[in-house]
This record gives sequence, C-alpha cells and structure tokens, in this order.
Amino acid sequence: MINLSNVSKTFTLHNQGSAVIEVIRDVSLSVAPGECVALTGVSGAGKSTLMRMIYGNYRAQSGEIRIGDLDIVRSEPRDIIKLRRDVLGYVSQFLRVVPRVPTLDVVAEPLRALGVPAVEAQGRARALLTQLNIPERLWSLSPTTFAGG
Amino acid sequence: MTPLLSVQGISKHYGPHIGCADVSFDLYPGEVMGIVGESGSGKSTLLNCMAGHLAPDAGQVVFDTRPPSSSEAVGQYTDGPRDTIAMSEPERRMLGRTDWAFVHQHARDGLRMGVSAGGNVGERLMAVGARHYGDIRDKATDWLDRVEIDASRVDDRPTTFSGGMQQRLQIARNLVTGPRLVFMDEPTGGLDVSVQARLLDLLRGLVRDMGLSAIIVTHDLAVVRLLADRLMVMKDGRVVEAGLTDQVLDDPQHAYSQLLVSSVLQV
Repeated sequence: MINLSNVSKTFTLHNQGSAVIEVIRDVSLSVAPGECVALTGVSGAGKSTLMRMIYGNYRAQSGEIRIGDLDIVRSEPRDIIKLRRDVLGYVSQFLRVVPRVPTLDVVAEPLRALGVPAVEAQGRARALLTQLNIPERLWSLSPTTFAGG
Repeated sequence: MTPLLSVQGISKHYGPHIGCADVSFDLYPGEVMGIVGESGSGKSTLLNCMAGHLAPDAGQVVFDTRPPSSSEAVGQYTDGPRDTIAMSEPERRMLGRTDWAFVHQHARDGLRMGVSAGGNVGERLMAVGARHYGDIRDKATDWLDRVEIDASRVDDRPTTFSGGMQQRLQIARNLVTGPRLVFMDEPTGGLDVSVQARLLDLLRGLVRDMGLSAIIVTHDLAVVRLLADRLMVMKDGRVVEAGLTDQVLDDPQHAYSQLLVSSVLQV
C-alpha cells in the first residue's frame, strides 16, 4: 500500500544564512494493507517529517514515496488532492478550521466535498460524533471552543 | 482531462517596469488556486490580464468554452478550448457574463450603487436574456437568501448596506448566472475579522456545492490556507514557487516564500 524507497529530506533556511538541515536520509519503508505502523524515536528524529512527507505536506529531496500507484514526490497537486479526498487521512495535533463553523458541519465537510447530500453527510457526522463521545449539545458550537482532547 | 483554464506565458509591462512576466499554469475543473505575494508583486496585474480587463503584451489564456445553453446564454461562441485574448470583444464580454465571474476587492467596483440589490443581481440575468420580471425577482431573492441577505432588503440600494453585505451582494450578482470560473481580487480585504470568517465559510460552501473553479488573489495567507487547493507565490512579477497550498505554506522552498510565511504575525 505504502512504499518508501531511499527517501531524503533537507530543509534549507534561506533567510538564516542558508543553513541546510538534514532531517531524513535514505529511508525505505513498506506498509501492507491492514498494517498499523508506529514511528517512534526521540524528539527531532524526523518522525513527524516522515509522516508529513507521506501525506504530501513536505516535499522530499530525493527518493520515491508510492501510495498505491501514485508517486507523491513527483505528482501534480490535483493528484495529491484526489488521493487525500479518497484514500489518505491525517490526524494532526492541531485542528485548523474556519472560525465559528459548527462542529457538525466541520465533520460533514469531507463527505460534502465528495458530493454526498447535506442530510446524509450530517447523518454520518452525527453517528461518528456519537461514537467518539462528543456530547450532542456541543455539535452546534465551533470546535475551537473544545478542550484539546 | 482538459484544463478549464490554461495560461501560457502571460507577460505585461508598464513601460520599463514589469507587471508580470512569463506566467504559465493550468487550472482544472473544481480547483481553487491562490496567488499570493506582497503588494506590487504583479498578482493583480496577472488576474486582470487573465480576466480580460488588461491586454497582456504576450501569452495566451485558453479557456475551455462550452456551447451556449439554449435558454439563457445567447452567445455565439463554439465549444472547446479557445484563446480568450484573441477573442472578439463581444465574445469575451459574453464570457464575462456567463461562465466567468469577477469579485472585486471593493464591492463598489463590482456593484451599481444607484440600483437596488435585486436590480444588481437581476442585471446579470437580463444580460443573458432573462426577460420575465417575476422570474428575475424570484431568482434575485433566492440568491440574496443564499448569501445571507434578508429578502426584505431586495429593494434597498447597496449604499444602505454594510461592507460585508455589499461584498456578499457582489458575490450573489456574480454567481447568479452559474459561472464555472471565478476570479477574486482580495475578496475578504477590508472586512473586519468576524465578517471575514463568515464570508470565507460562505465562499467555501458555494465553491464546493457549485463545483466552481476559482483564482483568488490575496496577501492573506490564512485565507488561502482555508480556501485554496493550490498556491502560487509571486515576487517582482514572476512566479517563484507553486504547489499544494499546505505544502508551500508548511515547507516553502524559495527564499521569498520562506520570508513570506515567517512574516505572518501570530495572534
């Protein structure tokens, strides 16, 4: 499902004396469908960077990152957008949303983007929010008002 | 898939000064692209060249036209990709009323301030052949509702509206004919932040539900992060970096993009 071969990543800080920071060197990894892989290591080891590269959020300097048939490193933005809509999810430590949009609409939005009617998408969002133990009285509020967890 | 808009080598000079130089990109149906850069970077020049408001010195703006729908559009353009720069003025104007829309930064530039809100929305419908007063009024009222303007204001002039309402009215006026491509020049500029958030949410919903493609010029990185799929960074009239919005903002490669991203004030 996910295949990384010889992936490297450096950050070049042009505005700070063009410092080059090497973060990832020659990483290869293969994940089969159904597998759950944990990336562990000390802070600064490059765990998040590697994950962001798989999501297409960071650009790799060399190597190949294949998800299914698509090589993330060399694909067009629209291919990555499609992949994210249909295949990839990303749970960040931070949530970025338009302020003051109700939680229910935030959760329903990805389904709406796939063309699912509003009522059906909201139904699915309700089911998921219930499953995740988020009290119903909070659904009409913006998630920016929530506690971290 | 055919790109909806294919921009090839657009250049515009103001005397010896560069407006924008050799800009090329493809925009596909349903994509929203942001163009960012400091003031004077050429982003508005580029937008105006693409929208036919300015004549570029060189380059092509190829739009995938569709045949006029029998009931509404009365244009005579044939379908398929056409260079809009080489089009005749009437053809380009027809495109501007049907498949294209342009949202100005200042709503007064895009509205008729002496005509009622309903009239502002209805004018675009009449320009493509609508003649039934009742239908025009119904459609105008429906659109005011969609942009969250109370139907009771349909006969009021935009001069009596707040800045945020004027901007929403301008959006209604633009979208009423069901365009496929919307050019936006700083759509949230000059609005206070609470109004900005609502307008952003509204735009996001409209873009998604109508399957619109859009090109948004702004200097506000938060706006592009929330609205745009793709991003182009301009400096001194040239594109210095382009790619996925979150990738350009989180991992900028070019020195100028890095400077731009790191200059945003945190609240």
